[in-house]
Amino acid sequence: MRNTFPRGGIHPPDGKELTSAQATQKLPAPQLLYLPLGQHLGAPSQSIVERGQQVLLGEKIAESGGKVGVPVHASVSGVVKDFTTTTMPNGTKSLTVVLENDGKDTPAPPLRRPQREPEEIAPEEIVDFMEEAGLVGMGGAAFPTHVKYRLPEGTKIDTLIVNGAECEPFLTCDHRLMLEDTDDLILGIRLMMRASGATRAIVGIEENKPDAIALLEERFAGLPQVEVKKVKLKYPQGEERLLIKAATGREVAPDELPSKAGVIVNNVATVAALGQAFRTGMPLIERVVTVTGPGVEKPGNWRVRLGTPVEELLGAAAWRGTTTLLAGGPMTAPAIFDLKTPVTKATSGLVALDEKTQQAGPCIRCGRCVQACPFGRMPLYFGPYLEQGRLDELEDMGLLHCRECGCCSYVCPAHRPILQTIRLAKARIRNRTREV
Amino acid sequence: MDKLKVTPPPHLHSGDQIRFVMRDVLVALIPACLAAIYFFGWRALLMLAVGTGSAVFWEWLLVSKEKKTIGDLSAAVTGMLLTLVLPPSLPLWLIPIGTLIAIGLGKLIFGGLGYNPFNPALIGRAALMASWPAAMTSWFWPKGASLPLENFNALTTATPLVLAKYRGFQVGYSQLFWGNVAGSLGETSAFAILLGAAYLIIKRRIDLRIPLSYLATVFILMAIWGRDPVFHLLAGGLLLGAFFMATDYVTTPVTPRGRIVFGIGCGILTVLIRLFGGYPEGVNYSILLMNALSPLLERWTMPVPGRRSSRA
Ligand code: SF4
Ligand code: SF4
Repeated sequence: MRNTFPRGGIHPPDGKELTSAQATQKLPAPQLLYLPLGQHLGAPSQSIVERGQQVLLGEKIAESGGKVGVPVHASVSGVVKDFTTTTMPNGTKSLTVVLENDGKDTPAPPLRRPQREPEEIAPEEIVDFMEEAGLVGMGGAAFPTHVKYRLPEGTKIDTLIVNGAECEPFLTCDHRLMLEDTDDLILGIRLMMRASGATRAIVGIEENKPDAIALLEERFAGLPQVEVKKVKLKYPQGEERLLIKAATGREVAPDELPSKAGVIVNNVATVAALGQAFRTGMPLIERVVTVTGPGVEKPGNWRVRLGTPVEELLGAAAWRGTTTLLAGGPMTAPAIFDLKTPVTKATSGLVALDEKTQQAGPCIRCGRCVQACPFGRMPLYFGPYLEQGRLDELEDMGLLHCRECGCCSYVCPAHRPILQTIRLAKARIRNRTREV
Repeated sequence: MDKLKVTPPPHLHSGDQIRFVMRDVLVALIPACLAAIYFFGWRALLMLAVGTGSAVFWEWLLVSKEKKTIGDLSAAVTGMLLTLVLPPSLPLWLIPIGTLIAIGLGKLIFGGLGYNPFNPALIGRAALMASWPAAMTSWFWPKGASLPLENFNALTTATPLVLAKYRGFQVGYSQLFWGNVAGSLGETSAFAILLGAAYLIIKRRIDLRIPLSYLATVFILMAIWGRDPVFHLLAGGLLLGAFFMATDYVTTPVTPRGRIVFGIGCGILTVLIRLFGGYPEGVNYSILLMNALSPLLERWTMPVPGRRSSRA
């Protein structure tokens, strides 16, 4: 079986050497923490605390707002200081609970969970636990994890894919996590296999992390159903569908969910977070963030309490004051404009770099974008069609099959803002679909 | 603290630019230019300077001040390519006329680079050919070239393709390969052209689908017709056309399959013109004709269209 996706893809400079060999450090929890109620996909959580209320570390402060939603937990012990609105990494605003840290980290009672081996627990119990622990996709999607495991009637999952590809340049938080939190990762895998009914698990790791591959292979020796799949170094190898293809050879139709192909994909950070929460009874209150880029003097990986404003991280990493700050990997992450933006469950990195804006030229039809697109699209048409309002034709061209990896923009010698156009066009189509 | 810039992703870029693409093409044309100077003397250098310079001048003159485009180097490429497909004896004053047509009518009138349906250099050449046919078809053999037939005047004579078509005489391979024959400035030396093409291939600037399918088609059809296929690959403007004109991004399909069909089409037309047409050479018109079909080829060879989202 091939260990990559068949067409397209790029090789951006990876910048991982800045941080990949550095052990994760703990960032002390700041004085004030900002916990947005809408930091995941789906319905925003509903606050259940009041101003001035005492909360304990890990205490639930907001309840899930709907079927697709999760609770939010206090990431320190202290007092609910205020409710406010903060800017999220993607630029949207969210209602936010502000906690004042009392510095004591007095823990709340641990989450209830069965004290048995994962294989002896009822799957539903694990899925409920995922929800109670506030788990969402930590690779950037922020999709509530338990929702993936509440499968429609008749869906059968046989394979759990653990995404350790970490194909985004600069990020090494998943890499470090595989090296440092291996026990939690393994526990998480067992729980997720049990929850999904999968009979095997495949951990896909890009070949540029040989130490993680070797360590996991060694640790999986006693687990015949779990294997490491070394995948080729090529962006966007960690894209869900492409990883499924590389790991199992299966294709997932553009408008279908991976579960249709018998597969569930979770990021290593999510899997390890489940393991950790299950082991300790502490819900999701922290995560590892890679703070890096040419614009920081001390790049590194930090274990950060959720709700920590990014300026704290920038202070720890000695930011030089660059033009651009990215909340995640540079290929897909939005640029942030507010230093008070909090670290959320899906913030995998903070990348500081100086961007030179390059004037866009006309499309010279070189076809580079077509060659680079892993999904076989014709990105050069998206811009002109959007300008001309030809939304139907955009759909016919498979615009909605684009997975927004950004390869097309990356290679374009004319510096066309293709990915931006794609997002605009998708929004236009979505809105129109709603209007009709 | 300065304000943070909010730019859309991706925040990394390959660093490639249009002018780098064009620069690579110019570099790839250097061997052909040197061969032209070597075989046809300093006049060739003068012609190249006039051709390239005038093309850049026209672009500078005709494009409004706010969006000067000469920096993208595409005008220089057009000017140089056009000059390389002109006969070495062409009066100098015709060259700026050719480049004016190429840049003005071939490109700018359609909205500039990226919007022109036809290869501008070939438009320029076709226009000169139609208006000054005599000047465009008078050739001379490089000094010291072993002349194929005794009774040919060394200054005004015929190209190898003309000799083959109307006199039944064929110039030898090695003479064609090195370029010691009559012909357009940059077309005579297969060696120089291939050297440049190799550079473009190494730099990943051209997709081999077009030139290979083009050349293979000519080779196979000529062989079927009982002509010498190797001779037809080496003689005339085929190599320069296949590697430098038929690979022009703007005027050819972007789809991989479309490119193959495009190359095959060029090959068929070239063979038809060379064997049955009124001209000894057909590369120019073949590529122009296929340029016209290019949008259609692209449509036909688009990847399987996606399904629409459900709409009420
Ligand atoms: S890469 Fe850019 S210039 Fe080339 S075809 Fe695509 S959009 Fe056009
Ligand atoms: S962003 Fe979309 S169109 Fe562009 S390369 Fe990625 S999948 Fe293809």
